[in-house]
Amino acid sequence: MSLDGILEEGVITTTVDGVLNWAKKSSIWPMGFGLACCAIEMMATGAPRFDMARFGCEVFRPSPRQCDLMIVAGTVTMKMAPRVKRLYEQMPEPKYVISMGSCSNCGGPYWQQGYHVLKGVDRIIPVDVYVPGCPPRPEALLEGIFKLQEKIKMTTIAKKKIAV
Amino acid sequence: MTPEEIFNKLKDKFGESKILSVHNNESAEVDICDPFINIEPLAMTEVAKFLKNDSELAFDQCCCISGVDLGDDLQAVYHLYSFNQKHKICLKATTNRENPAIGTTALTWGISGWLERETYDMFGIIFKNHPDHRRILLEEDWEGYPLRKDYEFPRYWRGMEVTPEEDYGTD
Amino acid sequence: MEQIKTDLMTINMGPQHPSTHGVLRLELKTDGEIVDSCRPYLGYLHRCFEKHCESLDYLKIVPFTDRMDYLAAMNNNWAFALAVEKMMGIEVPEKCEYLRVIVSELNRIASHIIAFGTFGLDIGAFTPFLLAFNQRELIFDLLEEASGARMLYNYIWVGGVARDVTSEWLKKVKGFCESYKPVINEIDDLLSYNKIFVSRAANVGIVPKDLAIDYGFTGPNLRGSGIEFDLRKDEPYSIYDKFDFDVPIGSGEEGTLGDCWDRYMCRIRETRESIKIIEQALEGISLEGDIYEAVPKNFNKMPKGEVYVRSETPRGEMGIYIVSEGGKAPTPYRCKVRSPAFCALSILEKIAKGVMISDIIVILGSIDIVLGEVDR
Repeated sequence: MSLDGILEEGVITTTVDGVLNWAKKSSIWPMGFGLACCAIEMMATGAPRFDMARFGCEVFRPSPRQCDLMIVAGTVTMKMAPRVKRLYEQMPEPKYVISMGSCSNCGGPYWQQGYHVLKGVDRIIPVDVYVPGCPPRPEALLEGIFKLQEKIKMTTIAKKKIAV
Repeated sequence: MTPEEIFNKLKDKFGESKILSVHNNESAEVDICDPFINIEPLAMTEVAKFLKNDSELAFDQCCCISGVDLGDDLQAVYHLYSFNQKHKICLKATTNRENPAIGTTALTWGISGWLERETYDMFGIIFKNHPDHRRILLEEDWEGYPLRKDYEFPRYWRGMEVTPEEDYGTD
Repeated sequence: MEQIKTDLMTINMGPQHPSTHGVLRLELKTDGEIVDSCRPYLGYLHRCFEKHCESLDYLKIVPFTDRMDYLAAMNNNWAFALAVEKMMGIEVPEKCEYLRVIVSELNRIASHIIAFGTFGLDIGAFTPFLLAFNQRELIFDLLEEASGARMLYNYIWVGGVARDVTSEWLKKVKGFCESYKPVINEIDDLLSYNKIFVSRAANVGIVPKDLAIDYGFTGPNLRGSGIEFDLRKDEPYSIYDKFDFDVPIGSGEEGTLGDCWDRYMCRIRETRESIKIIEQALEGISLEGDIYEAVPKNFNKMPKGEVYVRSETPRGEMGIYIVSEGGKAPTPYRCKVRSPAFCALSILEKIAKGVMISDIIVILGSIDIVLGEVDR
């Protein structure tokens, strides 16, 4: 007996991973959380010209407890760093971080004399995608989100063998 | 009023021990500067009060308070403006580095409160009788005063690396 | 009835809060919905601008001034350039002056329109935000063509401007001015005279004249309190004396003089004046001449001394105080920025007593702070 074509038309077959990843990547809710100049470009990305809604991530939530994605948009200072960490910890799993702009990637222009600037947000929280620029154009942020979506697509719920 | 007139008026009121000198381009021995008056630091409070309340002077806005590190001394520079009389003046109060203290102007102009807190935060100048004398930009447990010329960048602060290792100690 | 004893409740607002315009933290002591005291905590975006100045060449500081008030980068560039030009006695070519006026006024409109959009967003109206960002993109297209960057331009250099423009660009600016005029009416219809908006913003956060001066209000905030003072008019710098424009002031039209609505309305009316200035500048400009003529090759001739120069940015009076050691030192000895938003924010402690929690948001939105400039 063959199973070929036993399903009705309009039924799709896929893997569990596929469904989960599709759901995860198609509605990434970012946190409405701006630190500095990049935050304005992040807002511009949400605004009509660039319109993040086309890619399912326009729902900026004010509370970290409702978010999947944290866009660290701007300079993380020493005073702000513990708060950024706290906000990250408040987000539910699965959670992703995009580091937007040179400042949060590595300290940016404030590297040398910036006694109050954290030299890269990856020193306190894990980062998935880095978007370079000072500030990055909205297109660059969108590209960063695509990269994140690709990354989400690759994940699997199966336990992986870890090479030691 | 010209700076000289303001200076004379202040001197008549407070005497030479509190109002030290007036300078313009020539007398200050620099190439360019706005005229300024040197004030005895602890007399700042009463001088400010007089500057604001006198009807001829009427300096109703304090534009800016800037700290300057002069090496041996620390200085606070006040830029004042009068909306009423449309004139301006610059005051300077110089205090020593070991025990820097200047009389507060926070009770005279509302804005001075924050500007003086910023100066304290960056230079460590104590403003006597300030009603809310705290740091404003940095956290309370920050060590040192960053805009002093001899400030050394901390290596760590609350467990976070402030100066990366490869840069530390090299300029 | 027997008196009920109540305790004050402490509420923490920020640093991550959608309506604090960045990273500002407020510690509110409230009695129910009524605020008893409000204590702002700053410094979450303190990026050590003044320390950087002491180790950088004058031309290299210009990009850092961009990042202070990131909504009005051109005006900040200009404020710094003015100070250094006064110090060195540089005469800027007339063409550059006209270009500076055009780009700065464009940036002023962009900044005010963001203030309008985010103010709407703060009090729960989402549409103004979309309208504002659409208009802003049109301005950004123009500024990008002139300078090469979208938001932080590094365009106004000491002694000149960074890039030349073409006559097509001027035509596009002209086109924008025409297209912007009906937008002001749209803004008025959509938000300014909206019943809900008026009842949220009018009679709230009243700052009388004397308090406004005492707490260092400048710019649209000061004019909202009914004081006609504009540095472009009262102490004209650059070529502002050539232009004919009005200074809109608050009049207590919908409520009391100096309330949030007045401050908001001053901004909207100012954009109209900016359009007037741009149109006059477009008529006056000639594209002949070299823009790099007066840009200094090096700063060896820097005199010894100090200057304090004020100029009008969208947020108010920006003062730059530079102390220089003279020729040999290539960097300023001290560079202090008098930030208009920092000063305006200080009033919050004073006027917060007795208002509702939601009014705090309206007051914050109406004084239009940019935290990058508050903390520097």
